[in-house]
Amino acid sequence: MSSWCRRSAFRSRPEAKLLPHYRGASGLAHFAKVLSHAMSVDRATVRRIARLARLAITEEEAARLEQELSGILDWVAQLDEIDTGAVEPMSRVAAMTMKMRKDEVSDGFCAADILKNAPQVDDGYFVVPKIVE
Amino acid sequence: MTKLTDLTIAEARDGLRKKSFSARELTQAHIGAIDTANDTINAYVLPTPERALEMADASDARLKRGEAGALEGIPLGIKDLFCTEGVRTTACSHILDGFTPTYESTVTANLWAEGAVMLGKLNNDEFAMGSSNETSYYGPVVNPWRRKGSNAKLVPGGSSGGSSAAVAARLCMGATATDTGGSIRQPAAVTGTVGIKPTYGRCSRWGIVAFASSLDQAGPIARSVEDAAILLGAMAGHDPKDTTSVDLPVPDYAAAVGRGVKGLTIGIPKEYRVPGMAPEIEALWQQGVAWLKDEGAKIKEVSLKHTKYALPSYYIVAPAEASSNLARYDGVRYGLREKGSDVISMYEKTRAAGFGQEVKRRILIGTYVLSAGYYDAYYLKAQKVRTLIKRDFDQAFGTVDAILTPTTPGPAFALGEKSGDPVEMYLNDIFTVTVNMAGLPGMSVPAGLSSEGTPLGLQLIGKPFDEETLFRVGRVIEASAGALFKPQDWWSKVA
Repeated sequence: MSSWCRRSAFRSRPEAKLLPHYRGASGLAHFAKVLSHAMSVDRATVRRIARLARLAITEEEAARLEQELSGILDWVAQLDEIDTGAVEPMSRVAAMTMKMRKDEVSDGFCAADILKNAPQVDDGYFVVPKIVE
Repeated sequence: MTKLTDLTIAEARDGLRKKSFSARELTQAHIGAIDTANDTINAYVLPTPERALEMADASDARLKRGEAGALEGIPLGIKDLFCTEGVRTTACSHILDGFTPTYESTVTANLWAEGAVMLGKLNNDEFAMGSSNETSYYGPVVNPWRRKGSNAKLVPGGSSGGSSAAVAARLCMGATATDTGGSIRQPAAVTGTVGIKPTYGRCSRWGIVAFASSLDQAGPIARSVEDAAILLGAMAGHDPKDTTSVDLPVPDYAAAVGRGVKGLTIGIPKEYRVPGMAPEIEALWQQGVAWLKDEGAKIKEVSLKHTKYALPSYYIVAPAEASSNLARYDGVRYGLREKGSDVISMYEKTRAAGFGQEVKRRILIGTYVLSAGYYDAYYLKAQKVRTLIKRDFDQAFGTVDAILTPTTPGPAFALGEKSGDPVEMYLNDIFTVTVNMAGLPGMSVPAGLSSEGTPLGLQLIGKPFDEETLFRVGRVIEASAGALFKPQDWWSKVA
């Protein structure tokens, strides 16, 4: 592997400003939130995100992920160098109108197929652990 | 006589039509090759020999009746990301244990409609997340290429590492693959094979396990540019079941292959020439330029000034879309389920046990960048950077017909060599990822050997829906490079 594509070459420069051209922030609270993204991800954040993503993680995994996620987020922070204030987000490669189909039933009546791979079924239903006491 | 497994698809098609051999014989030869090689190469996670022979017999019957399709009797491998009716499909993830689709992906259905034969399901990085095939639940694939004087196992690239290794090792005549950030082109480059990721929208994504929906595209890996053209012609086309699939006629790609490069202008992006670039990669690139000039192309320097932002913005967009797509794996409808005291703990335990490390990492990054307060700063920002990347290409294509770059920063690396630091692994996609971000077609063609004696590829980038030009230019590079790209067989068990 050549030296130029090692990680250090792509790290954001320490002097890079944080989203200096960020538009649409509604007040200080929002700006503070945006600012906080340049800080390393802490253990509590890893746990909160894992909970949102419905992923059980061990203490050992949380420690490793804290490092790895911080590393990745520090690395993507170099995007802050670009002014995208007047740029539209990309939606598709070529201008194209999405095709509409006729509003009629074209699929369905295949409950057995849908249930076929489920870990637990009963009488045409997916079975899950009790949700309501 | 050439071994049946050494033939190109174009040659095998001729042989079948002339009755030099039958589809059954051709399929049987490949089943035999898989039997002796797969324990070592691990390219197939599920060989399907019975189905293959049934399909071959049906092909022989159609050949006899003179009803042969474009791929009649041609044995192919299918990446495990494509849903195949009645045949286990797992995306090489534990979480899809035992999942057997009740439907067929549009791309594979198109191949079977043209008479192709399925040899089995091919290994890949779990959910196509990886550049070395080392994240597969079914274990890594071994590159049939080895360094000169070394027995070290090399990676076949990823995520389509089973596809690239199977094609290079003559375990199929061609393979389906998918490419979200380079997953067709990078494995093709490091195995001496041809891989093309067509324009976003060219192939239907219906029935392909989703990774990052705005970036994913299917394409073929094959042993020649002509074979890749034949395969793409059969795979591509409009599909009402995928709203992002484009309703444009599919050109005769195979007819474009021999048209040469006379009159074409090829762009060389100066931003890809980075200080400290490996000298052999720079030399390969210059060689490519010289070949194209010799064949009558004009060369022009172009500027793609947002190139360096493609990879970091990709690592926002792809994980964000992945975290959303992978939310469906919850232990309720298919695959693995782990017991929990309540429904939430069932979800959490199932996903913890079912996903591998790299997939978890990307789900968490994606969840983070999409979480409250961060959407604008990360995902929206990255989508805006995509517009800038695309604009660079639009400007360049105002004056050039295609762009030539290296495919990878280096040759195949050894198993385990780069699994320590995720960002270092991500850098493998440095030259390929811009193409996905802009939605453009890109192709890797084998062009030379590294100082270690392993293959290197050149990448061609085209205008939207202009795959034909890539096949024209690719064929010239292939012909100029000559026949260097057959690994020596060390993997077959001696009978």
